[in-house]
Order: sequence, then structure tokens, then C-alpha cells
Amino acid sequence: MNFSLQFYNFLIKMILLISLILFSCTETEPIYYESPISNTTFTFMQDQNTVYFSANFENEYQSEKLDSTFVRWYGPDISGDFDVIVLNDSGVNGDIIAGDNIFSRKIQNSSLARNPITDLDTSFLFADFTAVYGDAKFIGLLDSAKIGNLIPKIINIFADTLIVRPEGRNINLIEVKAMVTDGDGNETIKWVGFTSFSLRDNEMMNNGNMIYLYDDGNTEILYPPDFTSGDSAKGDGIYTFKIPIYGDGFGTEPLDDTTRTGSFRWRFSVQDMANDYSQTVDHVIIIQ
Amino acid sequence: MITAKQWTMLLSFNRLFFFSVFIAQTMAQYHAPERFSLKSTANDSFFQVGLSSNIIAEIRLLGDSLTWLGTGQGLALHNGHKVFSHRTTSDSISDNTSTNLLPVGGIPSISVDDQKIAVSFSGDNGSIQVGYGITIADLSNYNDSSAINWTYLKQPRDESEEDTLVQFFGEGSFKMLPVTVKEANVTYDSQLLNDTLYTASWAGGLRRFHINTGFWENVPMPMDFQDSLSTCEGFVDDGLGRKIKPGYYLNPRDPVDGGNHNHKAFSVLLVPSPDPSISDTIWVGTANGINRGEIIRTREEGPDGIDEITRCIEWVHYRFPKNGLSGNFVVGLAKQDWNNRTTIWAATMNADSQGETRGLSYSRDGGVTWKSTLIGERIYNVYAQDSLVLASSQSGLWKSFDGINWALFKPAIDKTFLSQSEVLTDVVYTSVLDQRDTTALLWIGTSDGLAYSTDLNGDNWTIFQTEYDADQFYAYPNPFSPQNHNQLGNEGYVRFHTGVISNRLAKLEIFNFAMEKVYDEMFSLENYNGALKWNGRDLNGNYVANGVYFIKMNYSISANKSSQDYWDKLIIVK
Repeated sequence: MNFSLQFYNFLIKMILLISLILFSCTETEPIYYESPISNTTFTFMQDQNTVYFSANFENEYQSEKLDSTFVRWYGPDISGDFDVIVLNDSGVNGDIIAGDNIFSRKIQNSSLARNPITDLDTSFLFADFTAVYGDAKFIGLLDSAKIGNLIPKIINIFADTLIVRPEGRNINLIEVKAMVTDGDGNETIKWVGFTSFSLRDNEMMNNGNMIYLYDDGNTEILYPPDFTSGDSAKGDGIYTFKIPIYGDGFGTEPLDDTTRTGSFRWRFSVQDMANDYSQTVDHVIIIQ
Repeated sequence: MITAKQWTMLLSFNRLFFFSVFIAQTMAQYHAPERFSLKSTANDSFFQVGLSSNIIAEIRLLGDSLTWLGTGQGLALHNGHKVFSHRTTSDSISDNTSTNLLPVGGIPSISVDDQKIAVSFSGDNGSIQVGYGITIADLSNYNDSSAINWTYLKQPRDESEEDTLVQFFGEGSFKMLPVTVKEANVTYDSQLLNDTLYTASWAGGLRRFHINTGFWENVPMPMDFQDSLSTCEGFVDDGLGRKIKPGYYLNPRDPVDGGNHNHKAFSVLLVPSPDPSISDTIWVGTANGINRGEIIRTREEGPDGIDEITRCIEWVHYRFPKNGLSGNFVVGLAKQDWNNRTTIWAATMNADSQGETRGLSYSRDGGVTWKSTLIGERIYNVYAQDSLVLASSQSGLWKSFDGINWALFKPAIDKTFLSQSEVLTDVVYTSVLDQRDTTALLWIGTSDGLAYSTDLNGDNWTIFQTEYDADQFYAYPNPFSPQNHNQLGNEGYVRFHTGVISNRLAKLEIFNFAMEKVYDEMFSLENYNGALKWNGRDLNGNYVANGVYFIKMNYSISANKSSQDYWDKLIIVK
């Protein structure tokens, strides 16, 4: 009898102990919070050399109010140093609409002190979009993107700034050269050319059409009977054309061949095979 | 005892009944309210205060303060203070005659040039859109106390019994299929420049009207397979003494019927050249891409000496996939000049080729190459001013300062205290930035009214909508289909019109036919902005069943009166 009571007492204690152990080991349901950051965007506008960042940030997270937003910009090295770019939702500095919870910033690539984007950045680039909620609750969302097609660049223009028109029915050929490059390979360059604009007459020359330059090593006959570009070496990234300057003996009417005198703005541009354009480069010449 | 079969019949009958009522009511709501409580104006013979339709498809600025509006039910204008609808006549108006009243119909396009204005009209015959003609006016001498003298032009079409016409254009003639009907001949876009009006009229094609001389020309554009077309040269003698364009036939029928999608014109943009040595340019959007034309000025000796005559056009034809457009159906065009760069914007949709998508296409090299942005968006119109680009779309109004990165405006809400004005739709058909006054206005035309914001962030909207009765309590639309009407952020809404509310609390209760409450909501007007509205869902978030519902709204119309209940019946048809 006494033994039975002791046994039952022991059994109850054991059950309680085991229950305690079992219940104490019950795994609590983890609480998953949805990220308050979404729709992250990173755009590199190569033609303007500007970088645009934006993301949607919730006003509140875990009962804490949104305090500030910024991007840690790592460039190609996620483990390296980063630039801090402060975002805003005030409709300024690249933010498109104020108060829409999309915090943005557009800045010059050159102002990224640590990780400016270069032509070598052909793989993934990393940006960590970060929000601060309350006093010190940092929430981040890492994003990565590739630049895609690199736009061509004009490195230098080689052309006279003063051209003297010949007399009579003489024609002078003036050499114009442009050194260009494309990060995706110079073979991706579709064309190099320029337009000519008369600053005195406020008028486009050549009916507004482009005058093209060639990197053909002077081997192609461009116009009959044997007019060639004057290019010195094929495929070296230096594009050339010889501009004919007609003397004053070719007529005085607007549609005659005589080259007009005055100041002209030559605007050079390059297009690549992806149909992207370089930034334009202006070169002003005076024809006397 | 009702059998299962009888129940089925009864339910079918109920569905039929509700459907009939719904269609009848819906159609009825497209017409102008018959009774306005708004005060008449001094010139109420020709204008009435308020909008007659909430569909605003066109907005054009003219002069110092007039803003012309193309609505679903006629022409309207905002005079800087109020909106007025132009009165109409259902009487037939003769071609090329003067009228003070306008034809009945929706307004798909308005074009202005200086003080001249051209307005096109359309409707439908139950199965297809019909062109109702065009009116033109010169407002140079107009003052707001008199009527406008409009010249009415019937919908342009060809008067011919022949199968084939030979028409003169440019430096020769071309053969064409005469378009003799006004069905599928709606002027969706037009542009005035000096004394010439260009119209893009679907099957009516591209035409130009010489206002001073009063004659129309059919303007031939490349056939679907052609990359270019010259109307300046390349004509051959046909043996009858006529110079004919060989191998060319203007035919707007579908390609399967031997026609050309590129002869169906939907949008037109004229770019006058500031440089006299360079031709004016015309851009035309069709169902087969975009055409860029150089309008060649030719000099000819007329009776009075040397005249400069604009005659022929040199066309280049751009299309998907060759030139990079997102789609070949081009419904809107705009030009942007910014940072020494000209961009042509095109609202492009998929036509009939595999791989075409909706989006916004743009070219920065005069049309030679095109890129796309806002892929997947149904864009109705594009507007550009300096660096700003606005794209009006099915999802709302998109804004960009670089054409690459875009942000979407929130739907317009008038946040004025107790205003209760809200645009209950995502759809924005058109937008314009109005910089005529010191405060710039951002205008939008939607399927639920007109609005302008006094800032470019859409923070301060003023909204104009039709109003059946200024003071009465009523639900609109009624019948209401929560899955079709007033779609805003994936929900459909019915609006409760109350007139002026003087207290700070409006209490909404909705009961089913058994007078069981299905929904209630308290609108605390101290903090609440926007329309008093309901999304057709019960308190559990489920759509209520089809049927008749009783709406009770409790509010006060005057500070001297206590709150009272106002009732209306609402039919729900999903």
C-alpha cells in the first residue's frame, strides 16, 4: 500500500517533469516580418554619367517610424568599401514624385568617391538599400545589377579650328579625325559622324545630315572616281574624313558649292551596334 | 412549392432582368444629366456650366486661359474658373457651313494652333465607331459673351462610285481605294499648322485640309512592306497622260483583304522647322508603325509671281521589329526638346505580329532607331515639356525627368476640407502641363472626370465631375458592378453623393433586401479625404450577392440641423 502510494507519487512527479521538459522544449513560432523595402532600382545613365537609385520604403516597421533611408554603394566588390548615398522622398535631387514613399537619388557618377562606375565594371554591381526605423533599427535589402551595354565614347577630336577658304575654283581637303572607343569592343561601333551648324546664320549645313568618318585604312572608295576617307590605319579607333572646302569660284547662290564662311559648330557623336549613342562632343571652327 | 426547375428559371429571369436594367442604366449614364442645379451663365445659349461626361480624352490649351476639353459627350472648356460644356444640336449640319452649336458626339481629338482650333466628333452605330465630322474655328476675335462661329466639315471621305480612284498628290498621282463611309472613319488625332489641318482617321487614313482654299487631300503613305515612299519623284506616265506612282495602291483594308495597316492612321505630330533650310517634319502613327515625312517646300511661279508651295512628302517607314518599336499600333506621339536633344515619344501597342508588346517607344535619332520603356503598360497619350515626360496610361499617370526612370502618381483626391472629391479610377487618358500662369497646373483627363494639381507631385488636386443633383443623396453608378465600375487599385467603387455635409461624421449603413446589415462605415470627415464610397464587399471582405441593397447615410446638411438619415436603393450586378 505504502509502496503503491510512493510509486504513484513518483509516477506523477515523473509525468510532471517530462511534461515540463517537453513543453519547455516546444519550439515557439518564429515571427516573420515582411521587408519594409521593395522595388529597388539602380540605373546608370551613361550618356549623362549619372546614377539613379530608388526603392519603396514603408513608413513604419515593427511599430517604429521611418527615420532615414540611404544606399551603401559597393560597386563590383561586395566586401569592399562603400559610398553612402542618402535618398529622399521630397521630389528633389532625382526623386520624381514627393510623398509617394519611393525614396530616390540621382547623382553624378564622378561624385561616387570610392566606387565610381568605369568601363571595366562589366559584371555585377552591388547596392545595399537601407532604412533606419526608430532610433537605430537598420533594415537593409541588397540588390545587384549589371550595366548592360556600354555606350561608346569620344576620346578626342583632331581638327583645325581655323580653315582658310581657297580662292577661285580650287578645293582644299581638310582632314578631320575622331578617336573613339567602346567598352564592349571597338568592333561594336556602328558609325562616327558629326553635324555642322552655322552659328552666324543659325542654320544646319548639309540639310542637317550627318557627315560620317571612317576607320577603313583609306582602302574604300567612298565617292567616284576615287575619293577615299584619308584614314591612316584600319581598326585603330581613329576615324577620319577629308572635308572638301570649295573656293569662292563655285558660285555665290545659297545652293552653289562654294563653302560658306563664318563660325561653325561641329557636333560629333558615335552610335554602337546596340543603337546606343555616345555623349556628343562639340568642336567650333572658323572658315575664313 | 417552387420546383428546382422553376428556381432555375426564376434565377435566369432575375439575371436577365438585372442584366437588362444594368445595361439600360449604364447606357443612360453615358448621356448628359437632364437636370442641372447649377446656375446658368450669361452665354447659356451656347454653353452650360459643368461637364456633361466624366470621360475626358483630350486637353488642349489655347490663348491665355482657355483649356479645351474633349469629353465623352461633347466639347467643354475651362475658362480659368469654371468648366462649361458646349451646347450641341442633333440636327444635321451641312458640310462647310457655319454653326454656333456643335454636333452630338464624343470628342476624340482637339488641335490648336495659335488662336485656331479644330475639333473632331465621333459616336457609334451599335457595332462600330463612326466619325461625325470636324469643326474648325478661329478665336482671334472671340469674346466670352458671344457664340463661336464654327465651320463644320463632314467626316472626310471620298465621293466615288468607282473601285479605284486616281488622286493627285505631290508631284504626281497615285491609285487608291475610295473610302466612302464614315464607319471606322473616326478622326482620332489631328494637327493644325497655319492654314493646314492634318487628320488621322483610322480607315479614313491621313488627310490634309487646306483651310483657306477649302479642299481635302488624301496623303499617301508607304504600303506595309515599303521602307520609304517618295511623293516628290518616281512617277511614270500611264499612257493616259497621267504621272502615276507605279506599284502603289492606297488601301486601308486589312492585309488579309489586300490592304495595308500602314494606311490606317491613328496619331499625327507636326514638327515645324525653325530653320528655313530644313523641311518641316510630320510623324504619323498607324497600325503598322511610324512614318516620318519631310514636307518638301517647292517654289513655283504663280499668277502673282514666285510662290512657295508646300507639296510633296518624302516618307520613311519605321516598324516592329526592324526599328525597335515595342509594337506597331501607334496611338499617340509627342516631341521633346531638352539638352540639345530631340526625342520623339510614341505610345505603342501590339498590333498583329508575335512579340509585340504595349509600352512607350522613343527615338533620339530622328526615328532611325527606337527603344522602349514602361513595357507592358497601356499608354494612351504622351506629353513632354523640357525634361518632364508624362505618360497617361491604364495604370495612371507616369512621370519621368529622364525617360528612363518613372514614378506613378497616386489617384487624384481633393484634400480640401469636406470636399469629398476623388477620381475613382486608375485610368488617365491624357495630361498637360499648363504654365500660362505663375502657378503651373498639371491637368489630367480620366474616365472619372477632369482634375488639375497646383504642384507637380499631385498633392493639391481640384476635381471636376458631372453632377446629377448638387444637393440630393444618391449612389453612382447605379446599378453598380464592383468588378467593372470605377476600378481603382484592384477594387471597384460606388460613390455616394451627398451635397454639402456640415457635421464631421457621416455614417454609412448598407442593408440587403431582408434588411440585414451587410456593411457599415463611419467617415470621420476631420481626417478623411476623398469620396464617400463602397467597394461592394461585406464586413468579412467578401463581395455581396447580386441584388437590391438599401443605402442609409446619416449626416447633417446644415449647422442648424441635426443629422438625419438619407436613403437610396442600389442594385449590385457583378
